[in-house]
Amino acid sequence: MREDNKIIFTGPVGVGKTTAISALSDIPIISTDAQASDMTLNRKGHTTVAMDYGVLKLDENTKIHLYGTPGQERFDFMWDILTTGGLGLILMLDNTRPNPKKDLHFFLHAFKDFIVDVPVVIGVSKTDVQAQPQIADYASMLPEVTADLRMLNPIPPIFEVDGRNKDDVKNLVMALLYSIDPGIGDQS
Amino acid sequence: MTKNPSNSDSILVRSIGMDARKEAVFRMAFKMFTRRRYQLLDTGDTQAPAVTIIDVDGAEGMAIAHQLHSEQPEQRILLTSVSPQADSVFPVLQKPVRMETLFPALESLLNGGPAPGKPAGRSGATVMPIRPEVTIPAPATPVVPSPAAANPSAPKPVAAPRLTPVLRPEEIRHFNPQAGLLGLLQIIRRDQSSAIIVDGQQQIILRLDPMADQAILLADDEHLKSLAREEHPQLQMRAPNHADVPAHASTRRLTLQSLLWQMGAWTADGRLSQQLQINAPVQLKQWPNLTRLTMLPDALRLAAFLARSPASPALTVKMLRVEPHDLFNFLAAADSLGLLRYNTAENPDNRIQPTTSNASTPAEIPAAKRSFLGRLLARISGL
Repeated sequence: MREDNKIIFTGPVGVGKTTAISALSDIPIISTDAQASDMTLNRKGHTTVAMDYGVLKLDENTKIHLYGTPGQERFDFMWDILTTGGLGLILMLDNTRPNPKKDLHFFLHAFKDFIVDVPVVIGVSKTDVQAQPQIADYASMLPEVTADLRMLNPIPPIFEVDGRNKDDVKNLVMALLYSIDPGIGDQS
Repeated sequence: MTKNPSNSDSILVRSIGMDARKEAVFRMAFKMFTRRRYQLLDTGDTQAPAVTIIDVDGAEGMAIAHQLHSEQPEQRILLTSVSPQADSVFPVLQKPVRMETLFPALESLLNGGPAPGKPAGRSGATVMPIRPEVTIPAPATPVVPSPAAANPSAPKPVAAPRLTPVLRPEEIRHFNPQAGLLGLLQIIRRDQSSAIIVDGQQQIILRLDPMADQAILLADDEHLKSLAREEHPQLQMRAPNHADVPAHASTRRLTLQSLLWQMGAWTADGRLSQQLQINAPVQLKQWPNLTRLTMLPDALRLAAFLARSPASPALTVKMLRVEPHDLFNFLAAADSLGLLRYNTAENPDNRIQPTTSNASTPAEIPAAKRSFLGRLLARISGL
């Protein structure tokens, strides 16, 4: 029997979702990048207009599909389709954006139906460029940002990450898996 | 939700006045408690329960309890309420219900304790500490030393199948986190004022700038580790000046948070903080920033478990089968960063908070999915 599962990477334009998926994928990432034609151009020359796709194979019949959502808000109509069958949500935030709290609010609410049943982990990138807000600040924002949400894990992991650092990405995903079940490392 | 098969050894419990989420919490608690086998009856199950637990905070909660008692005088009744009445004729558990009080209350009822019609006092239940289950005396397992800060975010490989750790309360050693080098660091963090720490020979050990979250280390890890383990080291703290750190001095830089985390674990050295009790719950306020802190053994699992809901150290060892010294080091490190909640008279602001209302209920994980997640975890870890 084939078993397919998904991990969804989301976050604003240029945060490093594509790079993070590349760090995990067994196949060259399938990316639907295109020349950015709008305000996205200010942040990066190319951007993901549909989705990124990578695969992590457990065995012949079991794959983990790694999906990266487009960073642009106008594509949010397809996020519900992406999340069906998802194991969890990895939300990456860019500390150099003008209002990371607004991004946090936007993406958690965009996936509000998804994160009722699956955990979310939050990776904050570019903290070496812009130190504020700090991780503790994001943790302080959460109660207000999520006041009208139901979450499987209301105290989610919030880590500083660099999408180019494989260990950072691995830790994000491992935190996601332990948030589903802290007992899975216990193999006795 | 997986329905537990009925078993003649099971002690059947009925719930009244609870929604699916509260019932799921009780099911989980019953599953976690292995000394006796409790089973929560599903709605519509007509088996006779040994105990009925009634949430009396609803509109007719107390009326239901009295009606049940009049119809079935032999039925054991346990109430839950956010504001227990002192004159309740039934035993009452204060909500949020904790395992530490739930099971002693059930045991008391089953053993003929506070019976309906007899005043049971404010809490109703006799609260006895639950001693951790000690199952298989495991042979000593090697202690994995904490990795140095060189590669703090490197994930720890998933461990091989582990034996059930043994937690013997009489063997637990304690330490005072407010003493020694860790105590000085906590003062500096609390006061948010720059300082240097010098040893008995007036050699500078550390220069600290809490506002910038920076620490300059002028001593190597071995020296710092040995200082951390001394309860009364010859150390002094004073205000810094610009000449404290010569330009040619060999220094390392860390964030103050990284230093505190590491010093917390080194100071604990397998001991439990005096501020924590083995059977009292602790909870994480937020996850430690584990990609930028030394990855202590089992830190990700422990953070996931303790962020989800409060749990005592004894229960954590039992549920996760973590080595007690790894748990104690993690708790000390987290507490050094102010990330832990626990109930103390000295710090009422740090009390355990009721479960947040916006938390959805984790579904029970089927065995097949657990196996799948375990394989995925091993795959990710090995990348």
